[in-house]
Amino acid sequence: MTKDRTPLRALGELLAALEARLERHPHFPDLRNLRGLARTYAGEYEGAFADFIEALRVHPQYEAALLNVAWLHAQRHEPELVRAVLREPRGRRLRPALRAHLLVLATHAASGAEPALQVLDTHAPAQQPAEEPFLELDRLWLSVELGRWDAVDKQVRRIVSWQPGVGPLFRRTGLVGPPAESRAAFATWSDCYRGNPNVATLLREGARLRAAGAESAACQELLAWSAVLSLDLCEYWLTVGEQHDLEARDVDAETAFRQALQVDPSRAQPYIKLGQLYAACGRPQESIRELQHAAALQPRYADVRYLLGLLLEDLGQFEESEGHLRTALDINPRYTLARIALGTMLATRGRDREALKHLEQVRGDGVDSADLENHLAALYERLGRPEDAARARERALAPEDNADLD
Amino acid sequence: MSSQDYRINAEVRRFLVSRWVDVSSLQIGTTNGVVYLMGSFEPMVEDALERVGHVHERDPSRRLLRLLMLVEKELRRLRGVRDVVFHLRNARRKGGIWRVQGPHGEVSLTDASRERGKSRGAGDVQVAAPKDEANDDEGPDTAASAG
Repeated sequence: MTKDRTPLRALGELLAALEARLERHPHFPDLRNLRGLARTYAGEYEGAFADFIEALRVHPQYEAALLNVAWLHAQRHEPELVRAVLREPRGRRLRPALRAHLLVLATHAASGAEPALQVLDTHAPAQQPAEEPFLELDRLWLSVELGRWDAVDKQVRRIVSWQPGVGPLFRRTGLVGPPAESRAAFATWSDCYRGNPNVATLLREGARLRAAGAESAACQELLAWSAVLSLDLCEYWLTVGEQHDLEARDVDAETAFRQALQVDPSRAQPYIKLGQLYAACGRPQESIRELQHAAALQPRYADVRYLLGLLLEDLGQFEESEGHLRTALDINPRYTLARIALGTMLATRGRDREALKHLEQVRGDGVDSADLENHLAALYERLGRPEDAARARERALAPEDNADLD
Repeated sequence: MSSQDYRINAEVRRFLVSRWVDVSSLQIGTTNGVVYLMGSFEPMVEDALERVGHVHERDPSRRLLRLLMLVEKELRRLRGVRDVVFHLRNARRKGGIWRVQGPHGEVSLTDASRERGKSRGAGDVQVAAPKDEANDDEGPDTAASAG
């Protein structure tokens, strides 16, 4: 195996970043789950187990954490405990393909790759695309372990015909190329996969760190690996688009988000990303169109409602705007930005009493802003409360001195 | 919110990421050039300050405050930004002094320009928080005055 090529080479840095975040949010299930993954790859099985269990304690229906518990047992060669996960109520509720995946893991832990491949064959015949990428990846993994390079080659071609977008990523990671190079790359791939496509989330986090450090090439490489380890091209393109967006490459970001949409039009996220991008580029009509798609797919997403509210207000569609801002606040009553937007919009529409109620609540929540105080002052004046207006103007001059401290 | 505000918002997000700030913990909004940062201000990595070319700071609370003051200063320089409003769960400012609750008590750092009586939104806040002005003793008001 060529260790220097492994996409997990920066695991230590990622683990440190996760540790720091978990110090501040010790019970955040996504972070726990992610650190559990990182710890497993670092060989810290006890800590990893504690992380997955904590994630499940906070969020008992957290499927990825449950799968990770089973996977960790497989890593520790505890096939009976993998089967125990399948027997518990949450395990029994898993989709058939995921249950088959866990059976493959249990068999692999107990008896090795060959029997695991036989189990896989009974659940997902090799001749047709598996209903879950998990099973395609499992087959590839087991074939690599068994050194069946013809089968590997055949399956790669089948995956590429099923998802053409993944072809360039197989080449970029060296998985498709001259035989010696390809086998070395597959050894790396297998060492990362180990029966868990969730490793891709770890790599995407690593890519975000690389992107923040403006290490564009390293970021792209990690993202390519994340795609070939999960076959989740939608997530791949979304993350690629985010990185382009962070580097202000609007056209590339748009192309990437469109690719994500093409891969999976049933997800709201590509529409949201396109909506945000168009808003930032001064293309409000297109932004609204995309965000409306997103709102139809995910009606309870407060950020989408907030942005729609702002954009529609700009276009003078006040009733629709108000509706979206109120929905955002209904979903999240502590969405202060939405409350500011609603309050200021109501003020410009002459609905002073309603506006005042919202903006006073914003101030009551501890927001300390000269702009807010000026809005409040204007409202107090219009409502015949000159003393309150004067106080608000005073606060506008040095508002932070009035801030409450905990 | 004007189209300028959306542009500023995108720039603020990019800028924060480039300074290793964890934007997933923040709500970022811009209205008429006023940038609102709400939520929790946290670095993505422990050595965020060093990575942006500043000296190492051992104490995590001080590190956070220094990064916060650096970010505020630079955000105010972005084109079109009239003011930056922070409403953070983990740090507060009062009278030109930033405070954060650390594991060993409250830590505070002084923003020198505030001490000199500059008004908010002036657009050029000087961060004067050398080590000897920082204080992480317990107590309500521990920052040394800035000069």
